[in-house]
Amino acid sequence: MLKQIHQNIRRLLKAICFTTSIFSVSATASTAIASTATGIDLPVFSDSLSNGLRVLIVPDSNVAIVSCRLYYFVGGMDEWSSATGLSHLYEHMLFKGTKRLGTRDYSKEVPYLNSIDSLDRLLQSVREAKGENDPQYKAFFGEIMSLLDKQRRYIKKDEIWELYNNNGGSGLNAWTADNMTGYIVTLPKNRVELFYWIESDRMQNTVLREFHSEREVVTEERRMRYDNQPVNRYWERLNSLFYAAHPYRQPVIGWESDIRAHTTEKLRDHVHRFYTPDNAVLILVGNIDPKKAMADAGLYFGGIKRAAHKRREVVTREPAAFGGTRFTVAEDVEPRMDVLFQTPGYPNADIYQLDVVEGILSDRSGRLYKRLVDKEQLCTNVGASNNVRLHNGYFHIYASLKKETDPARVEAIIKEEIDKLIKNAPTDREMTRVVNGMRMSFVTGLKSLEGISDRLASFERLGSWKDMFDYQEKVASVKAASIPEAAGKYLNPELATWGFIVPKTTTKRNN
Amino acid sequence: MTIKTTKILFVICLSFAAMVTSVASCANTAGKRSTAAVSGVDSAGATVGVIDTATAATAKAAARVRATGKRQIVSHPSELKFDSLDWKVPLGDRHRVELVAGPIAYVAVDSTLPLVSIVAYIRSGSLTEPAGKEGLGSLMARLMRTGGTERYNADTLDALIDQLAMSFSFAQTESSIAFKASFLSEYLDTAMVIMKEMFFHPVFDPKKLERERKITIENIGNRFANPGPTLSVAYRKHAYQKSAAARISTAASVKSIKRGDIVALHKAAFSASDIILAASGKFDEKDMINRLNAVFAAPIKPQPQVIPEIAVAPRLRALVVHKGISQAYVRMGLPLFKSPHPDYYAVSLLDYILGGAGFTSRLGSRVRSDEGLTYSIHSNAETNYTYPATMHITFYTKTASFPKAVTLVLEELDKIVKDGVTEEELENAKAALITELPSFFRSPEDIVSTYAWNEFYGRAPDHYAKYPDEIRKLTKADIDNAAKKYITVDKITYTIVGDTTAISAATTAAVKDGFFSINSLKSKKVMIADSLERFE
Repeated sequence: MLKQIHQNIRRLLKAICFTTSIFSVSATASTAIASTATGIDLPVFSDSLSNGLRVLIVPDSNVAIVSCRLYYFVGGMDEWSSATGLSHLYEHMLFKGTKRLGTRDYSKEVPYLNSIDSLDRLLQSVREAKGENDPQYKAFFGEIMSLLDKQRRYIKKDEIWELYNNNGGSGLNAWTADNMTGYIVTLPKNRVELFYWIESDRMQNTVLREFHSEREVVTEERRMRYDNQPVNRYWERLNSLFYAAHPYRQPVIGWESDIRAHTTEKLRDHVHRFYTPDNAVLILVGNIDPKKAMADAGLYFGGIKRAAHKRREVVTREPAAFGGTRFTVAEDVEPRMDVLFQTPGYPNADIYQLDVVEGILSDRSGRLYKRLVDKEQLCTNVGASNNVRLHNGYFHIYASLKKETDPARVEAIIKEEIDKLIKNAPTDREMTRVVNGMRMSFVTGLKSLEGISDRLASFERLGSWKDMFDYQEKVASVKAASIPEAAGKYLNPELATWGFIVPKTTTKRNN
Repeated sequence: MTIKTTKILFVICLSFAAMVTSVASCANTAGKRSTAAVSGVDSAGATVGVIDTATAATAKAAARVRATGKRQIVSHPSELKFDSLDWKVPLGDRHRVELVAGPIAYVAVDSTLPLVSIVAYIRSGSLTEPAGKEGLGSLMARLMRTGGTERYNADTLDALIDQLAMSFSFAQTESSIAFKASFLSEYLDTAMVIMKEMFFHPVFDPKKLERERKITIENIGNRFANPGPTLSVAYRKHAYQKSAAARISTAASVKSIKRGDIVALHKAAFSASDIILAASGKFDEKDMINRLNAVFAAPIKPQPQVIPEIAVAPRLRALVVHKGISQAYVRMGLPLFKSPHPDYYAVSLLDYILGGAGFTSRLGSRVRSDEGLTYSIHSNAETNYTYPATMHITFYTKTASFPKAVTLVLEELDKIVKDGVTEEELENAKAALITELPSFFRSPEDIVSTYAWNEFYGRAPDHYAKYPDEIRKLTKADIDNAAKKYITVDKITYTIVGDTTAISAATTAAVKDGFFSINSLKSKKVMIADSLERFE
């Protein structure tokens, strides 16, 4: 059966390579790669339109659906001070419609939109001077909502959502991360054109209607995700202490004061910079013909213009670690400890060694679990994670502590285990376990259409989607003898950021 | 190693409700669980129940393109014409095998990836735990993975599983123990040995038992740390009172569990209960059946499961649980029925229109989109094959806004009861639920695990095949009748987690504004989260 699949894929690749020149809007040659890593073939068809929109297609004729995802390479790291959370807010606003969607008569909405914008400028000036409890602020806000009520005669509520739902869309959602945003839906294979229509329209014709009510929604979201989730609130602050300079230190959802100060003007400026075809990648995975898909992509997206100006790139990089940082909060939640170490951005070669270190420390038979959960019985869970990021990553050791456990004991043991990593190379058995784990993780990552899509997008953001296929081989090629040097280079406890959540009664112990 | 799994850092989504309601809509209505999606199918099962048809307009549009040689973009997506979908709901029959010892297995080959997946449902669950021993089944489930077997001691087993990057787990639900295994196909031999050892030869190592007991007690101590889980526990305590459905484990109940209790439960569950399996992946079908027969070599004679009577019987109209947070977490509940039930599909469509469809639902549109009062609001008509379920509406909003939000919800409930649904809403709901089906049957793994679950809960083998027609045949009158029958505003119970001082202040202000007042409810109780353990 597998042989049959390989033969089919080879035939498919041959056919595609032959036909790429027919794409009238094609700016680059289409390529196809059948990965040989782990013995799995995955055909990926890559092309781009003349306006810079990249298109990746992974055909799979065995399913009746297509995962359709449009990723913009913009996120929390692209936001400057006072504008945190703009990408996330726009993620919400993109569901409010366009000049043709979500409206009964756009021309009749325009006067209301303009009036609301004018009032919003007054609203923001009052907010800055007197705060949101001031009667004048409330009056302006009430007037805006009153205008919105009138505008709603011409609004067709949530039409985008309804169109996708009514056409069998599943997993309909959108998300924002530090370095990209994703607009996602999985459709029956015969309805993918709906995706092209809606997403190409959203790329060029979005209308910022119902902005103020949606800003309230985002504020509620922030309350739910951070203010009332003690661990998330702690993690948000720890992250901002770990990154001294890079905008990774900002929460993707934005600081509350920034969210409250967002305006349509700020948002438009952000949108014009980043939400253009040359800063996006369209990925289709499922039962779809690449040739037809490229023609459709060209038809719908081909006429959209590139960004008018060169995008401002984030040039900030973390300065070298300088001294350690300690952060302790007392909360009535499970006590925990987090240790964050600076690591290089992608594609520095050391990240593969740090992946091996993660594997050695993690899982039930990993060194940390055996020591802290099994032997010492100080923790309920423990692990490590090598977080690779575009500019500056971090290596993370985390532990969930029992309530009576002294965090100092866990800290000392973590330091001991780091010391062992620096002094002695891992065993062959450990190396085999890490490589097997990497392979299993890669294979299971290909189980879902959506998972394939997100992986391709993430690697494309880091540099190239092709890197996805040899990443695990690079980890597998790491020599055990190189691990002590890598551990010594990056895992210096004296330069790390240490975070603690302790029970409320024992706050003093770590200060 | 994060990059290999492409974890996206600090991701936040547009809609938590969307994720919830995605499950609530199709999973509830079609009555299946969500399962891991796998690309690739090489099974060729018989199918019935076409869910889409070609249109004459499609043919005309295609002809127009051929004639002009140039395609045009239509002015609105509603004008798009789609080809027919040549897909039918797959049946499970061809995958069904009765093993020699009695258990049923659904088996399907999928050679797309070098993986094997096995799931099993074992008739057991928390509802049958002895009073005072709550947590017994969960502790047993943890130990079946971590407590060692006759052939492999616990540490050796951990090392073997990690070394080969395999995954095995047991988890207890109310009415089952669910087993899941996933591994690379080249390790099939070893995996089947481990599975047999875990199923039939666990030793429940006393040292590991104590370790797991301590971890369980630690977790119990932290379970009310966040408002969401607190709301869920409080709601069940509120709705189901003293019944088994409302019981939760406590430190005392977990401490009281003896190793002998675990051994006895294991014997009952794994030698005298229904077991239904699903196996999919890269293997030879006959070989897999032989292997499953080898695992289940000893005859299994299921004994009837005795579950005490459970009813939805709230004693109070409102239960308020104090937590020092800035929002009120609110769940409004109403009694529903035990499945299967003739109103099942009508209620599912009603639920979709009311609050199951995300932004386009009435509640999402009014409370979130119009008013900006919440990030997440959804309704959920639960499906329960063991005892009567409930229908509930859940949202979170800043405390000062909760009376207004409740008022809006009540207005929407009143409107749907009095005026019913519109024909357009009904057609949209039908289209959504039917056309979404292909995404829930993607792979052999989806098919066999779904049909294993289907049989475990005693549903007809053609449940999914008939599903599109069951949805299509419902009329506006059916949905309106369901609304009148199941939505009674005066019977709604309110479970609220939040800062009681702020809730009190919001209530006082609400009276002035004419919004909902919790003080208008005659029976209510205020308590702190930890005392929920003792609340009956």
